[in-house]
Amino acid sequence: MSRPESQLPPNLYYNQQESVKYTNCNRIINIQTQLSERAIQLLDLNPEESSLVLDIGCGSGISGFYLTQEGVNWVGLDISESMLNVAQQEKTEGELLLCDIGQGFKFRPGVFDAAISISVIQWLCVSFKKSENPYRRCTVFFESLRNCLKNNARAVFQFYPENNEQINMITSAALRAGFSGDIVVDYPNSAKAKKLYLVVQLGGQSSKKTMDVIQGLVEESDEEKVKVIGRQQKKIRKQKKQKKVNEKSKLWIVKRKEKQTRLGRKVKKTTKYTGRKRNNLGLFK
Amino acid sequence: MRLLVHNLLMCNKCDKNNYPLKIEVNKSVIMELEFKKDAILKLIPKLDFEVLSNTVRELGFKQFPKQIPPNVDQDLVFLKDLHRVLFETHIMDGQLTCPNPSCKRNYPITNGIPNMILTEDEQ
Repeated sequence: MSRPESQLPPNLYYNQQESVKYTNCNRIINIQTQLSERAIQLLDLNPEESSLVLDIGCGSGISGFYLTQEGVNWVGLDISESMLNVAQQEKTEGELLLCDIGQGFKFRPGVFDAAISISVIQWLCVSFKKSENPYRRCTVFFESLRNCLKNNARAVFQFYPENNEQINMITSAALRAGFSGDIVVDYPNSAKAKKLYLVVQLGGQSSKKTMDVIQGLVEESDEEKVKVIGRQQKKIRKQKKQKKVNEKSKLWIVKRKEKQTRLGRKVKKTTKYTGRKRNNLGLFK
Repeated sequence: MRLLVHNLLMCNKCDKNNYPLKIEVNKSVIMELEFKKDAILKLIPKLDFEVLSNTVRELGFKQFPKQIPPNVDQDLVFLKDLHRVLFETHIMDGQLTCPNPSCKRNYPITNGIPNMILTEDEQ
């Protein structure tokens, strides 16, 4: 299955049909919910101080719903009109704006306490028009974000980079704009469950010049555990079936006799002397 | 669009004199929302109250106060008015205009969502 980012620009990819999936498809909703909850956990909001959060690529409002639950107000930006219409229909409590984050956005300086983004910023690394320069778009995006976040504000971006070049493009743009932070990788050993979160802070006491990749959650996902147990049980069952009978024992002899009878051969009767231990008397060595 | 985001938003195209955007309303609705006192008290320091007050009075709510009253955490009447104005008044159709005389860019509002996307030439 090819990545969405290689098919169409996001405003066309997230059309009416695709947007409806975000309301109806449980699998998508579950994934987005897990990502949102984890990102909010990484955001570490202080409920007494935080009152305004920027949701970048808010889409149909799934992540926004969890922000509302945390007791914060939020402003959502998205490039897809269809997705925002879904959010509007679902009566999300946040504010919705149709905007292209690669073009930049302007709010009053320092109004936002934090920023969150789920499955979005990798779109900045691809361009569908000659006029769009991914490097420039990443730069403009992080500069716009820096301007509207308060000092020491934190931002968490869950994203799906295609390759290391995309990770570098994004992290270097963030660093240039004045952010410092790390990339957190959850479940790094599972191809399916692995997720990347860019966790940054504006300013801060020690502005590092690079970003490290640090390990997040590492426990085996429940899905993988179930698969492993299933395989083990299957193996045990198979072994039981094939349990070998000891050679030369009475049971073995009787079974052999039954088999020969079935084959139609002449077989001596089974008596109390069958398989009895004999005294060789030195005749058979 | 509700007035909370209007209080934060600036013109995407120009850098100076780009706030606040002028609102022209063609259609607005009131949709009730649960009043949360703590949430709204937290939000008050973020607001440019002068801009909010001017906007609200231009839109027809003449009694809205020009300043934040003292002892605001006890003034339930004011808080409920603020809640109505920030969270319950939805501008479904209209436009936002940049106040900069050399810009004057129009951002249309459709289905309650302002369109801030710039064309290729404007970037």
